[in-house]
Amino acid sequence: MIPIVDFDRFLMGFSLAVHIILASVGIALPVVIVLAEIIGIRKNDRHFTVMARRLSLALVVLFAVGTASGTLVALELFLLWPKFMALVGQVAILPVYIEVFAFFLESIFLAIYIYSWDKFRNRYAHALVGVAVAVGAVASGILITLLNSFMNTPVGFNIPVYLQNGTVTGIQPLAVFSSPASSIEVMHVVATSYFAGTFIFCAYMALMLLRSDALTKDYYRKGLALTFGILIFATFASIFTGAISINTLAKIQPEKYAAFEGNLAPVVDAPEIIGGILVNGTLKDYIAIPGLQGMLLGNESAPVPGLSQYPSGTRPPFVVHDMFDAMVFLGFGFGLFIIGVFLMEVFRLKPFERRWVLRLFVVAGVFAVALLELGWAAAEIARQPWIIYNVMLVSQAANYSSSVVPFAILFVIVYILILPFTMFVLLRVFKDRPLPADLVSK
Amino acid sequence: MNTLYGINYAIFAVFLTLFIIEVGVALTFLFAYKENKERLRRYLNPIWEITGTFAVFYIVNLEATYPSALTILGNAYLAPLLGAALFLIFRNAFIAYSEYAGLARERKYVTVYSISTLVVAFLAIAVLASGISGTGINIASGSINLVSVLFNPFFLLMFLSVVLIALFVGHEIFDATAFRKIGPVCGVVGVVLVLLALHIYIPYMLQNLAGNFAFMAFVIVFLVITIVLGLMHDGSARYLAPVWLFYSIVFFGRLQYPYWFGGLSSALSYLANSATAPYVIAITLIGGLFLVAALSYFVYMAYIKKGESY
Repeated sequence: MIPIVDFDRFLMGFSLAVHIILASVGIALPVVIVLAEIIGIRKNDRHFTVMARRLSLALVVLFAVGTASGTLVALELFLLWPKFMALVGQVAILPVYIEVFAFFLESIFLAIYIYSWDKFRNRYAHALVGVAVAVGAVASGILITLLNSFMNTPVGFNIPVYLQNGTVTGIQPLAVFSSPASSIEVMHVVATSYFAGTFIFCAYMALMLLRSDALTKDYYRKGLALTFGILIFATFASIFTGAISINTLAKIQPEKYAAFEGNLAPVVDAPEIIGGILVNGTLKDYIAIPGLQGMLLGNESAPVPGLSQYPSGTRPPFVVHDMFDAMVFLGFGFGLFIIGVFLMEVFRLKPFERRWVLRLFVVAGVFAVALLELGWAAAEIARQPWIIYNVMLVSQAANYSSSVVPFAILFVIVYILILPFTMFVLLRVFKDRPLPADLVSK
Repeated sequence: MNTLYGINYAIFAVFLTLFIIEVGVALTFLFAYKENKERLRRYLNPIWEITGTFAVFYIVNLEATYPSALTILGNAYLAPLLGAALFLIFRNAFIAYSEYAGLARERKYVTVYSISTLVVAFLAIAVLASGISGTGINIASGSINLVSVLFNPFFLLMFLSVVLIALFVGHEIFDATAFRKIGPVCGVVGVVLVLLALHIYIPYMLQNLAGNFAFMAFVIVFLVITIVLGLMHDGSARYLAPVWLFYSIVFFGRLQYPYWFGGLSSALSYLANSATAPYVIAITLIGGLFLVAALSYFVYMAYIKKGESY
């Protein structure tokens, strides 16, 4: 029989897996829309103006489902993990609380942006309202990530006393804003959100460009160029912050680092271990690149962290090593792809007019979402069995009500129905408002 | 009144005001869609998301204000609150779908939205009624009897009151044609039912009232205002009705203070620690100022300013 706590885990994980996609779109899409609107105004380019308007329709629908999934996550935090939120409420609630105001900034100004489009005499003022939406969205992401950083590297209270008798003392409510993991985690989350969120629309533009006719070709080509421009920055910011975060991890969460790297024991001049499975405590079927891991950490003579240094009962599952490798492999694949397309553009090889490049964009869009999920899942699973690292176990925080079981099943069914239906509705929306008609109408 | 408690209740009152108005919209959509569609849409389209954000605001403020109560609340109310969240997904999705669906599908989507909103209201008010009355909850074990929470007379009376008050407010704000005759009656009966429910099931809340002439006079004046509001035929009722509703909720909260669970437990015993509380208050004040400014701008842009032609 499956323990209730695993249903809690599953429901939380599933809800977050859905929300993280919608949240990434919610962070990236306002930037795409605002840039399209500003370019449309500056260049008096109807394609970009129409693009801003049409994409804003998509934003409303996706924002609606995204905020519902976000509200669900907010509720689940205290319904599924009441003891966890009771502690967070005492020592680390401030970023979550400020996040509500960022959420208000986003939702209020989104309503103004959408429903008052024709009420602005100064078109730049309207675009400025869109900037407020974009700022609200990214601020929400940053503030919520601070809570996750707290879970990885808890601060702001007397941990030894809490572990000893469960009393929360020595509270420093502001410490959560500067936990050891906060800065790099925030940067990586923001970069990867822009990366995945933008890639979805880049892939959409590529797909539509493949299907476009003479009337709509320029529109989608410009859309692809715009999203690709954002993507260049987001991709390299993701790779750069990812590389820093793994090195930071070695210092602040060595156990998680060891799990990611597949280090069973601390060794000097450590090899980079790629792939492999753990059989009876022995690593098999892996590739080792001698000395690379030590070199990447910048100190070949120092031993790298190994799992044997930590109690076996609370070690993360080994599967995170393969997830981490898959994430790095995909990340570098994306880096090479983006560089390749960029160089084609520099050397005027017209990549956006080559059908194989467009097809690659479409396929890559799916992998971009997979990469986002993989990275997030690896990071969360690698903290298991802790909900707050070295402070509170998931099993200590969980709600053991059996009511969670039907809801875990129901939410999966609802999301399986509602996400494709949302895509269906969006397609119908755009079908009912044909692009050529929008491009020629005043 | 304790500052943290007051802030939390004020946020709750704003949320509940907006939500009851939305229940009124959902009911009107269900029973008189065609005649009222335009005016309801004009109100609902820009604001439904902000109403949802106020729900999140209340939840997070609750987490910041009463951290030690979360263990009881989370363990006990998991089922009804997850149920409400489930239908909230439908509420959000289908109101957004309906906006761009085209005439053929709009009505169907609006119906799903309306029913979902009513189910959210049913479950959320069940939790609130249980929190107020203590019915169906075992505080010591942090568990509930779901049947008892959902089908006790106090809750059913409260839910009926909310529906009637929502119809009344809907009539006042939107001048909903379907409720012109029954709207004012709904308002008066709704308020009387709330008082009746409190008198029978949570007597402590009205005990002050019984021996206090000023309080009784206030209630009578309040009922008279409700009747006058219902009979007003100029546009001012549209603006006064939300204020009336907000004030009703605040008055209710004043009667309840500071107890939860039918007077068995003081909310003050769960309040945030002295280290966190000042920051929560400061953030609420600063954030509240921003919110007032942003909402004023929103109301001006969405409901008052006319479109420019350029």
